[in-house]
Amino acid sequence: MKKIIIPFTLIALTLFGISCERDTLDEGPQLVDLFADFTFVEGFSVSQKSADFAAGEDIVFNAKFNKLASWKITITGLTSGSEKVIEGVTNELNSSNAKWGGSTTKLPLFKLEDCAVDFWVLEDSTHYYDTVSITGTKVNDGFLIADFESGQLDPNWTGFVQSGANMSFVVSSDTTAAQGDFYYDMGGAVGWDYLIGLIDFPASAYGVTTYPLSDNADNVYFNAMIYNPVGITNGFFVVQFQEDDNGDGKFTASNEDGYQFEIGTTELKPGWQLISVPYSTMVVENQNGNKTLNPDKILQMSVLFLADPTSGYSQAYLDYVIFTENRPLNP
Amino acid sequence: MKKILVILITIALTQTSFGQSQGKRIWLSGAARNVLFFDQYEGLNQADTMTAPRLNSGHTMVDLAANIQPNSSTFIHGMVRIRNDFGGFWGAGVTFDVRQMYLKGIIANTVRYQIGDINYKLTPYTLINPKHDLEDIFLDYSNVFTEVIDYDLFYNFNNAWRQQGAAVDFGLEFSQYVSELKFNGFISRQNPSNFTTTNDRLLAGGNITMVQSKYAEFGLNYINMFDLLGTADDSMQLQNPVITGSFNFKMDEDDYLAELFGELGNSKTLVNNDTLAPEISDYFYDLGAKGTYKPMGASVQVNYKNVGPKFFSPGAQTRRLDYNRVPLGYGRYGNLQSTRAIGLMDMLRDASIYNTSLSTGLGAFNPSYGNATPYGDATPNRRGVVVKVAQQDEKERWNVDLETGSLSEIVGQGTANLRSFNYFNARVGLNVDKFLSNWKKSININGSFWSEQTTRNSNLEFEKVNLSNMAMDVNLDFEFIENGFLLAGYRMLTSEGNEYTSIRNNYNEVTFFTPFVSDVNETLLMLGGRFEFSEKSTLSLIWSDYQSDYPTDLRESYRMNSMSIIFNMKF
Repeated sequence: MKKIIIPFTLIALTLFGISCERDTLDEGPQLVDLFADFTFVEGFSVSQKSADFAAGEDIVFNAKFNKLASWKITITGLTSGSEKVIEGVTNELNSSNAKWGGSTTKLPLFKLEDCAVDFWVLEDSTHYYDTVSITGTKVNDGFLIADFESGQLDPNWTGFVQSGANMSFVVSSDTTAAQGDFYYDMGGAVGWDYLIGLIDFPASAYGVTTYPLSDNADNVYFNAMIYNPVGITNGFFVVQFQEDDNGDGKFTASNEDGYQFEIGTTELKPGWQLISVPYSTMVVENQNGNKTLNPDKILQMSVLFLADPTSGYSQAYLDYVIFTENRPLNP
Repeated sequence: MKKILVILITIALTQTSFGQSQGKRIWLSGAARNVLFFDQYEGLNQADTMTAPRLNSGHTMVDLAANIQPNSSTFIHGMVRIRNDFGGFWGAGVTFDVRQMYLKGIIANTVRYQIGDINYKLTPYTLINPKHDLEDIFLDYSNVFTEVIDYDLFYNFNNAWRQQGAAVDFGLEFSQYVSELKFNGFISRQNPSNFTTTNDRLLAGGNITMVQSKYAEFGLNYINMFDLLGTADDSMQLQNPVITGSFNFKMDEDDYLAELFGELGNSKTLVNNDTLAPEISDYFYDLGAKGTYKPMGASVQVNYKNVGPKFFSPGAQTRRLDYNRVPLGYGRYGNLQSTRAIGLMDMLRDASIYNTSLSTGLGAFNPSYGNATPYGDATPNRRGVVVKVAQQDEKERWNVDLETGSLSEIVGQGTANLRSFNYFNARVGLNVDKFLSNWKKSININGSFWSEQTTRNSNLEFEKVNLSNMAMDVNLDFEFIENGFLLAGYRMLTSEGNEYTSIRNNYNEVTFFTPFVSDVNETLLMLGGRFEFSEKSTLSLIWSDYQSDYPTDLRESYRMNSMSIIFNMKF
C-alpha cells in the first residue's frame, strides 16, 4: 500500500498541474493610462485629402498615444456648415474607431465641398488642424420620398394649402438646406382652422402601387429632416399613412387602416433636425381594415402642417423624407 | 435590572442543586472584566487646539453562562453579557446581550453535533481565521491586551471563525488498508435576508480526512459561500465554491522526523442572473517539506506556493483587521480633525477595528503593516518560496523561530512588470530563569524582528514600487514577587517608500490603483505590572507612550500617553 500511495499522489499532482489553466492578463487598468504624462507615439494624420463617399471611399484618421486618452475629431463643411463629430477614449486612432464615410452628426448633410478637420486630445493642450475635400457625397440606403432637389414639387404629388395670410408652401433654395440645395417651406397664418397646408405623396408618384417596404413594421423607419425657425413655437406636423389593406388600389377609410404620428415644433431645437420614427410606433387614425401595421401596403403618405388658429403665423421646413429599413437613417 | 439578575442567579443556583440531585448537571461559568484607559494626546506638528488633550474610556462587563447537561450525551450552553461603558450610571450606557448559545451532543455514541454558535476551521485555503497584521512580530505583553480582544471576538479558538449554524462530525475505523476516515461538515449563515434585495447568504462545507496509516494522511476539503434564492425578491445568486485536496506523508525515525505535505485546489466565483458578473476561476497549490532533528529540537521547513490571482476563498481570505474602520479612541484628531489611521496602539487594544464576519471581497489593508501576504496563506496572486527554521531548547531555556520568504506576483497589476516581495522575520524567546539554578520565579525576555521589501522594476518611473517595512519588538516579563510581574516592552515600526493600493469592485476585479506613499515611524514603549490572583484572575497596570510620526506625510504626527488598568477574571 505504501508503495502505491506516493506514486499515486505524484501522478495526481502532475494531472492537477496539467489540467490547470490560468488567465495571464494583467489585473486592473494599465498604470500608464492612469499616471503617465500624455505623449504622441505617432502624430495625427489623415489617410487621404479627398474622398468620393458615393463611391464607397472613407477617410481614416490615424494617431497613436502612449496612454488612453479622450479625443475628439470635428469635421466641418466649409460651405454647408455641416458637422461630423467622431470621439473616443483609446490610445490609438485607426480604421476601427476613426473612420469617416461622409456621414453627418449635425445637419445639414455634407455637400461637395471642402471641410475643416479639427482634432483635440483632452490630455493635450495642442489643437491639430487639417482639411479634406468631398468629391462625392454619401449615398443613403432607403426609399426616398422627397428631397426637393428638382427645385419644384413633383406634379404627381398632391396637396392643399389654405388661403390664409403669408402662405408659402414653396420649394426654396438655400445652401443651408438639410440635403442638397432645396427644401420645402411650409408656412402661413390661418385664423379659422388648425390645418395650414398639406402635401400627399401617393405610391403612384413613384411608379408603384404601394410603397416598396418590408412587411415588418418593426424594421421600417420613417425619417425626415425638419427645420424649426427661431421664434416659431406653435406649429406641428401630422404625418398620415393610408394602407391599402384589401389591395384594391385605393384607400377606403371605412374598411382599411390609417395610421399617423404627430410631432410638435416645440419638441425640436431650432435649426435642422432629423426625426426617425419606427413604423411600429404609429398610432391608429382609423383601424377598419386588417388592424395590422403593414408598411408594405402604404398607398399614400401625407404630411400636414398645422397650428393653433389663435396662435398666428407658423412656419417649418421639410427636407429629405426617406424610409429606411432595419435602422434609422444615419445621415 | 439588578433585581432581575439576582433573581436569575438565584433560580440558576437553585436549579443547580436540584439538577445535581436528579443526576443532571447544571452549573454557571463566565468571566468578568474591568478595563480603564486614561489617554493623553499631544499633536506633534503644531499646537492642536481642536482635539481634547485627555480622554478617559473603559468598561465593566460580566459574562454569565448557564451550562446544562441534561444527560450524558447533551450539553447546552447559554451566555449573557452585561456591559457598562465608562460613564454609564443607573442603567444609562448599560447593554444586555446574549453573547453565545449552543447545544451540542453525541448521537448514538457516533455522531457529534453542535447547533447554534460554532467555531469552525478547515484548512488555510478554505476556512481559517488568519492572524492579523504583524501578530507574529508584535508580542502580546503577557497577553494583557490580546486576551481581551481575542476573548471578545472569539479569536481564541485556534484560528477558527465564530459562526452561527450547525456542525456535525463522525469517524469510521478500519482494520485493513485505511486506518480511519473522518467526516465533518457544517453550515452557517453569513448574512440574513432583508426580504427585498438581499438573500440569505450561507456558508457550507466540510472535509473528509483519510488516515491511511501513521505514514500518510489525505484530505478532501470543500466550502461554498452562496446565496439562498427565494429568501428575498432578488434573483441574483452568488456562488463561491472552493475545493481542495491535502496530503501529509510522515517518516518518523528515532531522531528524525521527515514530512511531505501540501494542499492544492481551485475556486470558482460567479453570480447567477447577473449579466455584469464575470465567472472567475483559478487554482493554487502549496507544497512543503519539513525535517526535524529531535535531539536538538530543530526543524527546517520549505514551502513552495502558487496562488492564482483569481483564487477567491472568502473563508480563508477575510482579514481580521479592517482598515476601513476608524479607531474608537481619538477617531478624529488634529486641527483639521482628520480621520486617524489605525496604528500599533489601536491594533493592541481596540476590538472595534476587527472583523467578526466573513467577507466576499478582498478587504482593505495597509501595505506598511505587511504587503507580502495581507490575506494570509491564501493571498491571491503570489508564488514563491517560504523557508522556516525553528529551534527549541530541550530545557525550554530559549526558542528561536526564523522565517524568510521570497514571493512574487503571478500577473502584474496595471503593468506586465511583477512585484517581488522579500521578507524575513525572527523571534527569539529567552527564559532567563531557566539559566539560573537558584531562581524560582520566571524571567522571560522576548524579541522579534521583521523586515519586508516590496519592489517592482520598470523603465517607467510611475510603475516602480519600492516599499521598505521594518519592525521590532523587545519585552521583558519579570516575576519580582510571587505571582507579581514587572512588564516592560518597546516596539517600533518604520515604513518608507511607495506602493499602489488596488480598488476592487463587487466582483473582486481591480478597477483602479491609488498611489500609496509611506513615510511613517511608530514607537510604543510600555511599562507596567501584572498580578495574578490565580490562574484565572489577573490585574494589570500598564503605562504606555505611543508616538506616530509622519515626517513627510500630510497626516499630523501625534503622541499618546496612556494608563491602562485591566482586570480579568474567569470563573
